[in-house]
Amino acid sequence: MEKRRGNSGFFQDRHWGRLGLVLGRLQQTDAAARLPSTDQNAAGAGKTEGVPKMPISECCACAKRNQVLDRVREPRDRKACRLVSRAFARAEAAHRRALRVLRREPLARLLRAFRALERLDLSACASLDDASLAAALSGADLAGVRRVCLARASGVGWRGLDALVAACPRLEAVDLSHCVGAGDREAAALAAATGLRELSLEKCLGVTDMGLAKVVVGCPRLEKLSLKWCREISDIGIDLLSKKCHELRSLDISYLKVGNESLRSISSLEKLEELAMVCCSCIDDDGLELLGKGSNSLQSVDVSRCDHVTSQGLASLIDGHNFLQKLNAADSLHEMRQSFLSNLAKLKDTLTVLRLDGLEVSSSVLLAIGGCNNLVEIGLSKCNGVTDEGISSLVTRCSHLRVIDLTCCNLLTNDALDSIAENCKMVERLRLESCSSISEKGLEQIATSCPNLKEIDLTDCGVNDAALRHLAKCSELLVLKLGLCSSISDKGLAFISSSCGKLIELDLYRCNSITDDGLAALANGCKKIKMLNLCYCNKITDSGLGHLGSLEELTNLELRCLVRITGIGISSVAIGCKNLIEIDLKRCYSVDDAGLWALARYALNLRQLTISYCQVTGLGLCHLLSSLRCLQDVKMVHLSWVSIEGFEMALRAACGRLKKLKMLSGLKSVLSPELLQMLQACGCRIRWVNKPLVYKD
Amino acid sequence: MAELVGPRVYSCCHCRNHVCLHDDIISKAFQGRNGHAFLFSHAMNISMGPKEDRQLMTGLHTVADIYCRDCREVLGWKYERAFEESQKYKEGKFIFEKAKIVKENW
Repeated sequence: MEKRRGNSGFFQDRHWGRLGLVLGRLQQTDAAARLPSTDQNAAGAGKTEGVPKMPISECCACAKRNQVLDRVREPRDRKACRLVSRAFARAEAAHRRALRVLRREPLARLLRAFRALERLDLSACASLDDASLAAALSGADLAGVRRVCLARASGVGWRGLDALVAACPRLEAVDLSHCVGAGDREAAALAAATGLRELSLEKCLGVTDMGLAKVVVGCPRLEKLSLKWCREISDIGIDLLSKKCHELRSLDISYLKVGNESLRSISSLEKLEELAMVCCSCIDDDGLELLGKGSNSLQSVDVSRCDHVTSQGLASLIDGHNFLQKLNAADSLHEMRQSFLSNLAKLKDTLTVLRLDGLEVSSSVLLAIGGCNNLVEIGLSKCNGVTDEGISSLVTRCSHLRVIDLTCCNLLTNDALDSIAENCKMVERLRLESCSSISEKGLEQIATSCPNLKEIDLTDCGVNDAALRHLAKCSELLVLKLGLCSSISDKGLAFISSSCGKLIELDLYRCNSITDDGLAALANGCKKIKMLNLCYCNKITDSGLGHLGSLEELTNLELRCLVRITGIGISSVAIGCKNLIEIDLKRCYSVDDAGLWALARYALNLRQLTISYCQVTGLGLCHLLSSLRCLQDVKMVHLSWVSIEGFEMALRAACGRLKKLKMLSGLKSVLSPELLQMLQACGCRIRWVNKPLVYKD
Repeated sequence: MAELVGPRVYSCCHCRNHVCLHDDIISKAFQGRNGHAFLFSHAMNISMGPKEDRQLMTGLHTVADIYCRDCREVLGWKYERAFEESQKYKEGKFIFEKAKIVKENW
């Protein structure tokens, strides 16, 4: 985020007004005594009279200013505070605790300016590498920094991490996930941070037992560790971990090739509360039995996708840990033995989360599950044999349920919805994808009885506008998924936008009856929308996109195969939606260079772009890739109008910034090898695909 | 087993046998017997049942059910012949029902 020196009166006026509004809001929620009245008058006057006569900075003492700033949480409001005057900018800088840097160039300056930083997020910092990180850290005072996020920062290696650990003596949490090139040398660098309590090495593919050993010896106070996907790690590494890190509370060994011996070692970790072992195919019931006999205070266990785990193993696990709160056995069990069901009864007071996706269930199983009256979340996605009766027997005794996942439970009818509506009034998230027998009658019951509904997934349910009229009663709705519901029309959208003002995510994938008028209604009523999917809604034209331009919070927009939209529509979106991070224009055949120019000029925060099959030329592509400094992920399959030179120039222009590319495999042999090497050296991963040129829809 | 940074694989919901790749998806807008289904250009580790003529939503087709080779779970069908010109593009392609396949390792 760049600071602007507010020299011109223009900035001061506009932001005095904003500040006045912010202070006014604080005034309403807090005792008036906290804020001196002179300040409030001065701020309020600023709105209409221009620069106030008595500068606020002189009135407020530093401590009071900090009190005010403590309450200003919204990023927009903080920005307004910064831009009021130099004194306010300094005060805000001195007070700021968290920083998220998007570009590499200002990093050094920002780290020097913000002295009270505790949390530093460099995951979105385009083209960050060791040299720039080390240089930026050298001049800064980072004694307060406790948490650093370097997720997907593939340019950072052990040199940068050495510098980080040296500069931040109080480092407690580091997130290095998805830095796929990171290995033992990087782990050794982190081992120097002796106070480290949380570490994520998820997808750091190069880390082996050696690197893990260095970390556990160097950081004995580790409480939370993720080794997900570090497949070089074996039982030996886990054994050493268990011997050294006694404070460990949360451990993730998902996707590792470790076996039952690891569980024997882990069972000695007395403080362990959370254990995730997703897709550990070398673990079986014997291992779970060892874990069951251990001395952990396990609260949460995830054995989803473990092919060799059966309900017998889970039964012995529960035997040893009667205080389990969360159990995730999705996609692992094939059948349900009685031993497990009877042991489930032991958890009836503590179990809050149970996921059994992919299991063959019967009514008796659901009845047994219903015995756990404190269940808050139940997952039965893709379970065969889930019937209305079964659901009824489950929910009548689990009235505290808040999250219910019934994806692909296609035997369910409105009766199941009636049972849920009657018994689970607190339900917040309801997933009903592919439950094609439900209709607006059942949804009417849900909408009337469950006012807390925040998320509902009705993909492929065949719902119509009448259903949306009922759902509009749920004014707390945040996420609404209506993919493949082709009977939804603008009328339905009008219902939703009239009262679901808090909506953040809307999925209208293949709702092809939607037209521009529906988007107008949305833009009017759902101003907080961040994620919008309009793929294949092919009646939409540029004027519809024009309405979307007023959605200021929009970050992710999917517009696949909207054949009528052109650069004009793209311009409206790019100009109005200043926070746009991702846009998908695959197969928008009428989008040409004009659309790319608009994105290059206005969509400065764009990080992810898909322009496969668009009518763009090398010129537009080159301009785009050289202008957007945050762009990291580009999918450009079958850009048939771009020449080889066009690709070369464009890719060279953005070489240091790109992290992910998707291109037609034919280009692999045609692009110059040094370009491809350069891209790889800068941490860019290229996916070469074979896709047909012509699609049938 | 090519995994991790390799292709994204779908497995049989019952026995986790690898049956198709995400990159082979041609369309996500199909209806299977019980709900949502995807059209894939390729399939692996499956066995096919006998060919039969079926009247589907899009017209008459000759299809053959596909089974997971290990556990014989019916996962969808293969289009052998289409009788309408507009549907010919489906010939030789596979339908996998969303409820029968799970994402593997991604």
